[in-house]
Amino acid sequence: MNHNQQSTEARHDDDPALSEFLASLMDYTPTIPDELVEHYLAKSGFQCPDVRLIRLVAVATQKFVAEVAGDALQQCKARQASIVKDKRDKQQKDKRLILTMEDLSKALREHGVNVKHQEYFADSPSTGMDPASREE
Amino acid sequence: MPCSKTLYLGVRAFDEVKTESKKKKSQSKTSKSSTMKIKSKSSKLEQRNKKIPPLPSSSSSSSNPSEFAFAITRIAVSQICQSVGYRKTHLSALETLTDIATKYLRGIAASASSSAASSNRTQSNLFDIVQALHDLHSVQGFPGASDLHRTDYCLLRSSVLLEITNFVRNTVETPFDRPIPRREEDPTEQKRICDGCWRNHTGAPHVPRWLPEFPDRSKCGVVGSVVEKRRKEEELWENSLGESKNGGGSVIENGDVVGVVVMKKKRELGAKRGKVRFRIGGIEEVKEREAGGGVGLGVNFSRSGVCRGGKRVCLDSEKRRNGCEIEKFSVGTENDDHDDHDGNVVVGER
Repeated sequence: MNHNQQSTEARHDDDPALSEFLASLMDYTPTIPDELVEHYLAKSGFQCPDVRLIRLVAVATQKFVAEVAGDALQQCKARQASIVKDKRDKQQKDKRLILTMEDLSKALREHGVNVKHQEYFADSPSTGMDPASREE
Repeated sequence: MPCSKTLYLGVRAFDEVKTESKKKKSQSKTSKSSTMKIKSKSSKLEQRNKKIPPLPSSSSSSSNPSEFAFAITRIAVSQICQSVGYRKTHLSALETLTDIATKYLRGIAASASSSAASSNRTQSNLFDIVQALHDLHSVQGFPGASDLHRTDYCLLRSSVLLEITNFVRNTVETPFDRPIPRREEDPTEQKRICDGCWRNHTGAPHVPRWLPEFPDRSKCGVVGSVVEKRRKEEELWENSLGESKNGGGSVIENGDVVGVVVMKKKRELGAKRGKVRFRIGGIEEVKEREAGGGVGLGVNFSRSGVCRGGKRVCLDSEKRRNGCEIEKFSVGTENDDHDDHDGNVVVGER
């Protein structure tokens, strides 16, 4: 509701709002650093001297990642809420709020990305071995 | 559980770049100093970090720039995940999300640059970016997508742009945690890396800055020597861009016979130019020359362009190759046939 109100307000005077937003990007520091964005933009043939537009791309990417991660978090919470309570207490300590492939692929599907991952994925040769025999 | 490796967000990513910058110590010393800064900054995080077993070295090594960029992106993505509310992640999930984020970024860039190119521009602007965002969001859909085809639709009112505005307004700013070492300090290093994203320093305005640097003139072998030879007499076109000279051409004297006016190709021609006049011995010769396409056949060309035996005038082939423009040749024939039978050619200069 609040969001809708904001958008209709901005629709009336979009030009000052837009220029104000672009000006605010000069002070805003996106999480994705400018150098990285410039690197990828230059690799794709994008050429633009304006820092604000580079930051706009950075913010857009940040928003996308944040949305995907937020969706995955909701998936994670919904999954954990469905577990029976006594089991949950046992698992609560180490398993809460971990970003997993399972949640991520569900979240990405909503954004049009189909992630197919292997059922079992070994990161290192020692994965799956008895913990006692591992050298760590 | 598909993946048994669980990481603490943010912290592990730092650790990986640390090991990686240690490996690069021999290449760039700047990264080492910035690593030290972070160590002191994130000492609290490191205490937690000690519980985690170290990763296998194969996954943390980064030898080329693209892997370095991927490692940086991974830190940024893990910071975003942390700000959303996650505390831990599986390595595979984080890498997948990083990969998707990179593809998204490159998708925006490719789409924006192609829409800029389709409107005859090399530099992208805000409209291109908004159009690219529309392209990428069209899978999911966005409010106002059905109005895109209308002629009075204004791209600046795009709801995607508005959502980004609201995102910036409502999200807590989490800057990237460390300065990124640029590897451009070392000049030898920079020449080695020809990645396409390093700037060239030629300074010519028509060369896009993302192109790799021009090779050294001295290393070009035969072509280089030709270029050097040419530059004694002329200037390259791009060098004359800066200052607009309107001085006349240089007169190349060769002996006492010929003075040919060679005009440099300039951006603006001089207002008043003189007539270049040839007087050639016989009228038959001139007729033959006009019919036969100018240059005499089978005659020994001298360097001055004048063949005494055949009484013909030809352009100096070397000068033509150099790309300079012979300004004007008007071959005037005089009525009196019998003078200048010794083949003197008079060339007026401007």
